[in-house]
Amino acid sequence: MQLFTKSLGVLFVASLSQHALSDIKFNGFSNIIAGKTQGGGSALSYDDELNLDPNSLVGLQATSDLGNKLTAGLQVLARGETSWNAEISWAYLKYQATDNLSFLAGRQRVPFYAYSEFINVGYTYNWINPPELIYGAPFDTVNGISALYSHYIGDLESIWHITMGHASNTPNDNFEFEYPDLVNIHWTGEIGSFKTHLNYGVSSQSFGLGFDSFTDTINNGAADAGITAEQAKEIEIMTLSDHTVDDDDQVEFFVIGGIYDNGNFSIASEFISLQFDGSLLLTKKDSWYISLAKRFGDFTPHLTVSQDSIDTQDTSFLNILNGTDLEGTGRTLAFIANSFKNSETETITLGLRWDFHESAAFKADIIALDRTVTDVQNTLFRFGVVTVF
Amino acid sequence: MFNKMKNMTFKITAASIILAISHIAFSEIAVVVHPSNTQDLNKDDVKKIFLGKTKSFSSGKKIAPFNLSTDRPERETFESGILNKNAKQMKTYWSKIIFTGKGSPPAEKNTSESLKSSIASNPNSIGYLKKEDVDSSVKVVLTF
Repeated sequence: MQLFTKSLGVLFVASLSQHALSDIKFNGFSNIIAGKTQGGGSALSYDDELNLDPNSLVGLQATSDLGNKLTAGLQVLARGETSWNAEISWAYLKYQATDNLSFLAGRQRVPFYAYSEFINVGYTYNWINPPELIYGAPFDTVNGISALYSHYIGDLESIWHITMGHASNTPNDNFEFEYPDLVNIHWTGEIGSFKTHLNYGVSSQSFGLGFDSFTDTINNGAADAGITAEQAKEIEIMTLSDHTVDDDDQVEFFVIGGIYDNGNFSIASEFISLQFDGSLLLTKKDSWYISLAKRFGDFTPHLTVSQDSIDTQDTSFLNILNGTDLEGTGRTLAFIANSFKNSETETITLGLRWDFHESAAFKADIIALDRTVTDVQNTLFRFGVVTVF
Repeated sequence: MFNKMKNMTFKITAASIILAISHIAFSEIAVVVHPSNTQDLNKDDVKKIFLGKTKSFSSGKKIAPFNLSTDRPERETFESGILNKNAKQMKTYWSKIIFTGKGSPPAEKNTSESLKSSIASNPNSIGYLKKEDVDSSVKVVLTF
C-alpha cells in the first residue's frame, strides 16, 4: 500500500520532470480549528482542554497539464492529529478523453457523500466539519481508477462518477480493515439551484489483527495464558481467526441526498445506510442530517440536526476473554467489543461563518451530542479560520 | 468656514458615490470573442463556458476563457449577471473543482487592455469587457 503510494509520487514527479516549474500550478488550503468540550466529557476527539490538533490541517496541491489531454496532480496533507506528518491524499494522472468524459488513475477520494471529495477543504462549506455522525465512513480514499461522465437532459445536468479501487483503514496499530475491490457509482443531477445525488458502493472487506501473524498471535497468546490450542478453539477464539480470512464479508454504501442553494439560503440533507454483511462486529449503520443556512452579507448562521443508529453483531462471546491473559490481542478484542455496542446518537449544531476576506472565513460552532444508549451528553465548542490559496 | 467646507466635502462625496453607483449600474458588459469566431452564443452558452461545463466551441476547438481579476468591478457584474453567483460562491465552486482533480478556472487578466489583446490574439478565446472598452480587435457576441 505504502509502496503503491510512493510509486504514484514517483510517477507524478517523473511526469513533471520534463516540464518547467512555471507549467505547474500550485494551490492550497488550510483549516486551523480549536475546540474543547464543556463539562469535562470528551466528544469527537476533543476533551475539556482547548485543542488545536483534531481538525487542523494544511493541504498543498500541484497540477500540471502534460499536453495530449493528460494532467498530473498531487495533493499532500499535513494534519494536526497525526503530528503534521505529510500524507498523500491525491496522486493521479487524468485523461480527458472528450469534453464530457475523463478518467482518473491513482490515489483519489471517493464521492460517497455530497461533501466527501473536498471534505478537507473547509472553505467550501459552512460547518467546521460536515456532520461527523454521517461522514465517518470506514474509508474515503482509494487507489484505483475512476470515470467521470457528464451530459444534459434538457436543463438537467447529469453527472456519473464511477470509482473502482482498493482501500485500507488502520484506526490504530493493532488492527486494520482492507477493502480490496470497491466499486462505487455516484450520480448527481443538477438543475438551477437544486442538486441531488444517489450513491451505491460495494466492497468486500477483511479485518485483521496484524494480519499474517494473527493465528500465531492467538495461539501464542493462548499458550502464554495456559490454554491449549484445542481449548482456544473451544472458546471460539478461532472463530475470530476465521473472520479475518473470510473474503465473503462485504460492506455496502447507500446514499441519497439533495441540496438547494440559491446563494442566500441553503438547505441540505442526506440519508446514508452502511450495511455490513458477514462482518465480525457491525451489521448496519443508518444516519441522516438536515441543515439550514441563511446568508446575511458576510455572515452565514446555520443549524443542523443529525442522527445515527448503529447495530452490531452479538459480541458477547468475547466476554470469555475476560480474565485471560492474551496480552495485546485480548485487550484489543475487548476494546473493539466495547466500541461497537448498539448505539444511537443525535446532534444539534448551531454555527456561524463569517467571510471576512475573499479567500478566508472565520467559523464557529457549538454541537450538542446525545448518545441515547450510554446516556452520555456532551457539548463541544469549536472555532477557527479556513483559507484557500 | 470650516463647517461650510465640511458640508461641501460631504456634498462632493455624496455626489461621487451616486455617480459611482450609477456608473456600475449602467455600465454595460460585452462578452467578446476573436473576430474570426462565427458561433452564436447566448447567455446560457457563456455561463457553461465560464463554469467549465462547455470546453469546446462547435468547431471542436478547445475554448480559452479569460476572466478579469477579482478586484475589477466588471467581474462582479459578469458573475452576478451571467453566472448568477456571488464572489464567495465562485470561490467555493472552483475550490471544489480544483481540489478534486476536475479542472481549473479560466485564466485571469489584470486589465481590460491585456484581456482584450489576449482575445485578439487567440482565435479560440472568450472574455468580457465594459462596452466602452470594446474596439474592432474583438467581436461582441452578447451584451447585458
